[in-house]
Formats: sequence, structure tokens, C-alpha cells
Amino acid sequence: MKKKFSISRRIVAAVMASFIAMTTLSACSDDSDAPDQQTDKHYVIGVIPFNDTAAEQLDWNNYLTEYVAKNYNIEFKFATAPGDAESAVTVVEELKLAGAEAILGIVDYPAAIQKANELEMWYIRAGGLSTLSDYEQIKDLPYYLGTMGPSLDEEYQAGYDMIESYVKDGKKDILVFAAILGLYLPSDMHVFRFEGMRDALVAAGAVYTPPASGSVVEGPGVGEFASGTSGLNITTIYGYPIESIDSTFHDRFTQAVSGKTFDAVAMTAEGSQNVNTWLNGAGITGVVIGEVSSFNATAGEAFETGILGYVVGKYGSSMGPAVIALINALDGHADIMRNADGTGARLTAPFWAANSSADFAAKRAFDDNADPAFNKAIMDKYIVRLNPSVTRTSFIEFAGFSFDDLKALH
Amino acid sequence: MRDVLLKYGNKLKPAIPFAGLILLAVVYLFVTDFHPTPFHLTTIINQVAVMAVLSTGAVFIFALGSFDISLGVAMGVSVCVGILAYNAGAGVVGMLFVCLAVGIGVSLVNSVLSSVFRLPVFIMTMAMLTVLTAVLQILIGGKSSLLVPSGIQAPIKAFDNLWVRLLFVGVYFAICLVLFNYTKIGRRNKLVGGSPIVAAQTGVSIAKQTIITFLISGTGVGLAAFLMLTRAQAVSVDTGASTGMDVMMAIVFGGMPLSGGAHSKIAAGIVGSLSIVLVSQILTMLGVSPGLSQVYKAVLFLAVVFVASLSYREKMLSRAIMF
Amino acid sequence: MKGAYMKRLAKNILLTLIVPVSVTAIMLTACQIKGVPFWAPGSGFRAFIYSMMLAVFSAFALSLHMFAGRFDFSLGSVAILSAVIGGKIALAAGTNMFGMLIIFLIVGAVLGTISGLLYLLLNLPPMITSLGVALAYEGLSFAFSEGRGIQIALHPELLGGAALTPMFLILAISLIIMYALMNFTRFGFNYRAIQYGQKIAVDTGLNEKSNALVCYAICGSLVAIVGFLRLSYNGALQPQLNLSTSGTIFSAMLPLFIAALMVKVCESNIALVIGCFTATIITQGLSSIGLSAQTRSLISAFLMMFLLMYSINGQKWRDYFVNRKAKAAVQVAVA
Repeated sequence: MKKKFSISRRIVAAVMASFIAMTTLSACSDDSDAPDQQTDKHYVIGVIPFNDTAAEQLDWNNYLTEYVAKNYNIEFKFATAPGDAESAVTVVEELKLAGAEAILGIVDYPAAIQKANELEMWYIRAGGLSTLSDYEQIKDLPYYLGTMGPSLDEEYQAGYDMIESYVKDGKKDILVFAAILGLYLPSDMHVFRFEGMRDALVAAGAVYTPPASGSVVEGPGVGEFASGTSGLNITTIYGYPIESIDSTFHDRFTQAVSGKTFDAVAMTAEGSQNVNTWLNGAGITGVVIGEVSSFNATAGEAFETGILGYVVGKYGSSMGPAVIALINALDGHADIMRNADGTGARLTAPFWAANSSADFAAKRAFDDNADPAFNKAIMDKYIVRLNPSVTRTSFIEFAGFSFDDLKALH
Repeated sequence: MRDVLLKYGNKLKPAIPFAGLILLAVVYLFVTDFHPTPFHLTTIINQVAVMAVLSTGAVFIFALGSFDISLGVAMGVSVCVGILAYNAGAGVVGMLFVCLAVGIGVSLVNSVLSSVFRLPVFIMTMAMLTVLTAVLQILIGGKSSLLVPSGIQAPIKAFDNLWVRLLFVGVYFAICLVLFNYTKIGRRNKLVGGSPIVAAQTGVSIAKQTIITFLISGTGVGLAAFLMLTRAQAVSVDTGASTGMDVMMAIVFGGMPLSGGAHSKIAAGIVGSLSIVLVSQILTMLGVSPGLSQVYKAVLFLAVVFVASLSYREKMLSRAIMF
Repeated sequence: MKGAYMKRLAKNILLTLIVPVSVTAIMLTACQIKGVPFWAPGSGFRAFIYSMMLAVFSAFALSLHMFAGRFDFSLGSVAILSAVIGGKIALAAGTNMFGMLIIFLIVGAVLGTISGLLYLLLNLPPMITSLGVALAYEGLSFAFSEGRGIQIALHPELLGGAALTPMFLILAISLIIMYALMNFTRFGFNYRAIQYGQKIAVDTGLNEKSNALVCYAICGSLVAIVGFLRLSYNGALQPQLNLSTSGTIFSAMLPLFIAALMVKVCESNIALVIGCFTATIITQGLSSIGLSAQTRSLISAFLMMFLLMYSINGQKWRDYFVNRKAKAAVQVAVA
């Protein structure tokens, strides 16, 4: 039987072919983000996001493309956030193919960092400190600059300070939302934030009972609090509000908050708008929420409407020192960041915090991409090529600049 | 003249996925400014190995007119048990055998459920996907991932190289090629995929054929797990989570008809895997954002599959026959 | 005659209810023994209905395709993209939650139709087309929102769609529409004709393509309701990439298998709702008595496997037991 290549199929084929051709050409000719040629050396830096859709990551991406790329002769290549170790290795290879000479990674899969080392690409893990066990595996790699971000002590302190501020403000009924703890995907930073909250509550007189082994909790645990001498009523909830990951989250959340009232919520992660919606759905209103997230637009809206009352977090230009570390390494000055014993460094960078809408708005405005907190004027002073007097000690100070330090320098 | 063109045209149509692959290779060269380096080739092989082995094994199931969507998670479980065995001192060779045993074991369970209880493979493997995901979570035991400790990392790193991957892919593919094209296993697979009733009437035991098929693909799962382990040296609950669907895309991209049967091609797995890796690398080199990157992949995928499928069109709309 | 009808009706109702009632009784007893409430007083019931509603609309859409011989991986991605596009339109239009629902239904239908048109034009197996569509829609939901997804938490006029009354209303109206559509319209008749005899139906001149297209549009609207409920309940939705939206389909499988048990004695749409109710009762009960997520997944998966085995081998098993009983009776009689 003869088969006809019908007109409709021809049209489909033609449309598809032209679509592919157009999109490929447009991708090839997209030069709208061409950097200003302000420095003499052109570098290509690969970026491995931890999550393609997180507000925090998107703000970092914007800072890199909207500010750094335009003020330095740097081109950024963004990979898709890897879901597991194998895809992390794959994106390192792909970034190398895309011409990247160094990698700014917000992930720390040891195999991926080993691959970067094998390909002679400088790697810095920014946005948070690698866990010690991961760090031990890779610290000796010559192309590993190290890790930079809030230390686990800072994570702990962020949780502690949030609860302490609630107690000072006279909040009595507190919901502690330990986000992804208690699931199979725990993260050290969440564990430390929760431990900070726990210890602040215990310091206020509450009594903590850890989860029994074999209970409903599968990962690092979230136990229960009794009032003790604190006069506080504390409720805990753990989990992850995506049905495909944690199908009974909403059920447990409802069980936990049912019949109660709250003055404040302490979260180990972002998502105040979600939590507020769930609480309203359970008939609970007028609660102040505190989260560990970032100084992003969504958090700003939540602050303005009174949903959010406390934020500890990172900010768009907090990636600045990591980029400078990579520029120095590419210039041949990796020792500005790496330890004297030849291992990768662990450099602490502080969080910012805000406890009022005005405070939040002021800090967010201070980190505008037109003139961000870590701007060119500040960062140039730590590029060895431009300022040979930079030392490892001064670089460590630079990486650890607080809000006040930066404010004073502007 | 038209008849001659149609005749040769139809003969050439099975070569369309190859043509697509060549076209992609040309685009790849274009993107690399026609200066490919040995690193380009190494990277392609590194990235294609796991998928190529998995999808070559899966071709046998596809040829039966069905698909095992739990292949990826089965590999994840295999990687996990492999790591546990390695950390318990089994050594690299021991780990390889453990990976193979788990891969084949899971496939055997699937084949028994399918042949003895006559469960439709696709739906049954969907349930198996949930079972295996839960098993993987339990094995990982509340941690975010399991790693091969750095102290005993060196022996495993010796296997993390191009030649080992080429050897594994090459040997497995060669065996599958012979089995599929030159033995009664392959012929019977295509016959069952074409018409189970005719196959049964000609004396083919569908149950036996199903078990053999799953054993072959299970071996692929075990080998892919080993290759994955040497490359990633870690397992997490996400290991292999979306691989099942990636394998399906790769095989179809490689020119395999979804209905299986006589048009089935053993090279579909490798051709499709290579195509997908090339597309992915091209998009990263062009700096396309993650969202748009997926859209381009989707359009290319549908375009290639559409053109490749022109040789076997039906009057009626296609329906799935696998459940 | 009427007596026989009533008797059959009563029998069918009994057979339909036996599974949900007994499962509920078992779960309630388990909670009683454990000394835990089945659901939290107050809003616990709402959380339960919300979970059930997600299952109902996903299962409606999945089954509509499956019984027509199609499998659609893109349903989850249609839900997310409907939410991103529909939410943005609703915010721009300054509408209320009912307006937002209508917008979602229209956007869902359009997205479903596009998916259906691709299937018709390409004439590829639907599973393959849907893989491509899922990839594309996931990518577009990312691209349209620059990765940020959609937030309505600060717009009280748009929230409230996942409160009990609107959810029950949506369920009742949808059930009536689906029942009428499948039983009293040309679409429904044609759908069934194609379901049971594609070749004969097509050979007798039935327009399979328009039927499939309507089916895609309906499924698009059905999963847009999933998107609407998720956005209303959570206040915000994030895009998902790498085919992770396919989780929606997998979660609708257990309800579908339970529904298959009672479809012979009950109208299929009602069977589906009862299937979703039963599956949600099982999940809720296992969670309330304190089983871990992994254990719950394992139990659900094994249950699914058993139901699948039963639906295929049930008659054989029943025959085996009947024969054994008969043999035993004969032996007793001989003795």
C-alpha cells in the first residue's frame, strides 16, 4: 500500500524545522548580555545552581549576569541544577565543554569536585559551607579553592536568634517548622538551624524530648517540647510540602496546629507565604512568621503585608567574594583563598537579618543590582592583579564582611 | 519514478535516526567552531555509557511491545547495594557482582510477576517503581546520600575511565547485537512484539521469552549501576528517579517503534542515548536557560520521532498497547 | 420485574460500598487501638478532602485517557502550567477565586487541546507525544515565570478555593458534568464505541479525531482543577523540571485500581470517586497510626500490585477455590 506524506504532516514538519532553526539561531546570536570590556582578561565561569527555581538562587543568578558580567570581563554559563551525583559530574563536563575555566558551585558533590579538579577547573563551593565529611574528601585537591558561606555555627545561631527574639518580644505560642527534617532528605544547615531553635527554647526553660527511634521520624529527628518553666506553648512540625515527596505533610500539619493559636512561627527554611496560607486555612490568623531564606522580592512582599516578621538570610551579591576568589585563582593567585598547607579553605560569610519591614526594605535596597552591597569599588580592592597588597588575611576579612562593614565601605 | 522514490524512500526511513544523529553531530561541530578535541569525544562517551547500557537492555523489553519504567530506580537500588557491599569490604569486583545480582534479581521478580501472574508490564513496573523507591529510601536509611569513603576510593577510581566504559558498553552491546539479530531470542522477541497470539501458536513460550528478556535487561541494569557507581561514587534517593523515562526517550529517539515487533532495532538504545547527550551538550554550550532547554529538547524529540515514524503509519490513531 | 431490579440495585450498592466501608472501619479501628485521632478536629477533615480532591481530578483525567488506550505523562505539567498562566491572568485581571477557577479551566482546556492537536497531527503513540509535551510544558512554566512560579498568598480574594464548601461544590458539579458527558452526550457514546472497538467505530465513520481532541481538552480542564486546588491550598506553586511532574500520575494509580474493583457494579465516575476516597483513607490512616513514609509507600505499592494481580487473575483464583470446595464436598459425600 502506498503511503502518502499528507499536507498536514508536511506542515508540521516544516513548522518544527523552522522553529528549531530559529531557536538555535536566536540562541547563537544572543549577545544582549555582552560584558563591558573593562578589564583586560576575559574569563568564562560555570555556575552550578542548587535549585533552578529557588528565589535565593535566582537572585544570585541575576547579580552575576546583571552586575558582575557587566562590570568585569566575565561570561557566566549556567548549568541545570543536578539532581544527583552523576548529573553533577555531567554538568561539570558540560561546563568545561562550554568553555568554563572555573566553577562557582552551590552544590558539593565530591565526585563533581573531583571531576572539576581532573579537568583543571578551579572550583569554589559558595552559598554555604560544605559538610565536614564532604570537605575531608576533597580538601587536598589542588584545584579546589574551598567553601564559602555561613558556617554551621552561623546556621545554628540564626535559629537561636530567631527564637530569642520571639521570647524577648513576649511571644508565647510558637510553632517550630523544621522543614525538611524528619524526611529522607535532611540537610546539615536545616539540622543546625533547628538545633539553634531547640537550644534557645531550652534556654528559655522549655523541656525537649527527642524523637524515639523507630517513630514517625525517618531522618534526623524533630521531637517535642514541654513548657517547663518557660511559660511557652511550643508545637513542632517537620516535612516538605510537595505531595509527591511528602504525601501526608498537609495532614500532619493540620494535626499539629489543630485547635491551637499561635503568636509566632519559626521556620528553618523559606516559604512564609505558604505557611500563612495553611494557617489561615486552618482558621488561624494574625501570626508572625520568621524564616531562614534570603532578601528576595517575595519575602519583601510578605514583610510588607505583615506575614513575615523576621528574616535571616543571604542576598544576591553575597556571591561577590566567591567570584573574586575565582578571578584571583584564574590570574594565578589561588593562594589568596587556599590554606597555607595547600588545602581548600573554609571561609565564613555572615547572614543578614531583618526584624521589620523597613529594616528589610532598607537592606534589600542596599543590595540593588545597580549598586549592590558587594560592588565593583569594594571587590576590585581584593583582586590581586589590581591590588597586589591583598593578603590571605585581608581576603578572609573581605569574605566575611557583615552588613555594617559593607555599609561603612559604600 | 514516484514509486521508485517511495520504494527507496521507505527503505531509507529506518536510517532517519542515524541521519538525525549525524545532523546533531554537525551542529555539535558547528558549536565547537569545528575544533573538536579528544576531550569532547571522551565526555560524550563518559556521559552516554550508563544510558547506552540501560537502553540497549531495554530494547529487548521494548521489542516485546512493552516497557519497564522501573529500570532507573532498579539501577538506583543496585548502586546502593553495591556501595554497601563495597564499604563492607567486597572490593571492586565483588561490587560488580553485587550490582549484577541485584539488577538481575529485580528483573527476575518483574519477569515472574509479568509471566506467571500475567500482569501488563508497564503498569506492573509502575507499581514496582514505587516499591523500589521505598526500598532505596530504606537502604539509604535517613541520610541524604551514601558515599564511597575516600580512604578506599582509589581502587574504584581506577575504573572511572574511558576504556572501562568503552569495554563495558562494547561487550554488552556486541552480545545484545548477536542475541537480538542472530539468535532465536531476538527473532522470537520481535515475533511476540508483533503478535503474541501468532507467536504462541507457533510454539513460542511467552512466559519463557519474558523471563529471558528481563534477564538480559537486568544484566544491563547491573552493568549500568556499576558504571554509575564508578562515576558518581554516591547514591541518593534521586539516583535513577527520572532515568526510566529518559531511557524511554532515548530508545524512541533512536528510532524504535513503541509497539515493538519486527521494526525493532538493537542500535536504537545507543543511537538515542548519543543523540540525547549531544542535544544536552549543545544546549549547555549555547548557554540556553534550563526552562528553554527543556522546550528545545521536547521539540527536537518530537520532530525526530515524528520523521522516523513516517514509515509505519496507521489509518487509525495510535493507541498504547502496553497496558 | 421491579423487585428484581431493586434487588440487583441493592446488591450493587452493597458490593460498591463494601470496600470503602470495610477499609474505613479497619483504619478507624487501628487508630482507636493506637489511641490517636483519625484526623485532627477542625481543619483535619479539610486536609483529607483536599488530598482526595487532588486524587479525584488526577484520576479522572488519567482514566479518561487510559480507557481510550492512551497514557498521558503530561497531566502534571498541564496542572503546573495552567497554574502559572492562569494565576498570572487572574492577578492581572483582578478577578476573584471563581473567576480564577474559570480562567484555569479555559487555560487547561487550551493546553490540553494543544497537546491533543500534537497527538493528532503527529499521530505518534500518545505516551511518546505526552513525554514531549510534559518536557515542553515544564520548561514553559519555568520560562514564563523566570523560574519563580506563581504566588497568590498575598491576594485574599483569590484564596479560598480550597475551603470545604468550594471543594464540595467543585466535586459535585464536576461529577454531574462528567456523568452527563459520558452517559448522555454524543461524545460519551462515541468515546465508549472507540473504547470497546476502535477499528469498527472508525470503519463505521465515527470521527475518532474530534473525540480524542475533546477528550484532551476535558482532561486539560480536569488537571487544571488540580493546579487550582494546589495553588489555592498552598498560596504559591513552583515550577518543576526534568519530568518530575509525572508524580501526579503515579499518585493516581492506586485510586484507579481500587475503582476497577467496583466498576462492574457501579457507574465508572462514581467508582472513581469512591476509589479515591478509599485510597486517601488508607494513606491517612497509615499516617495517623504513625507509619513512616517509606513503609506507607511500600504498603501502597504492594496493595497496588495485589489489586492488579486480582483484577487479572481474580476469576481464576475464584474458580480454583470454588473447584476445591466442590471437590471437598464430593469427597465428603463419597465418604
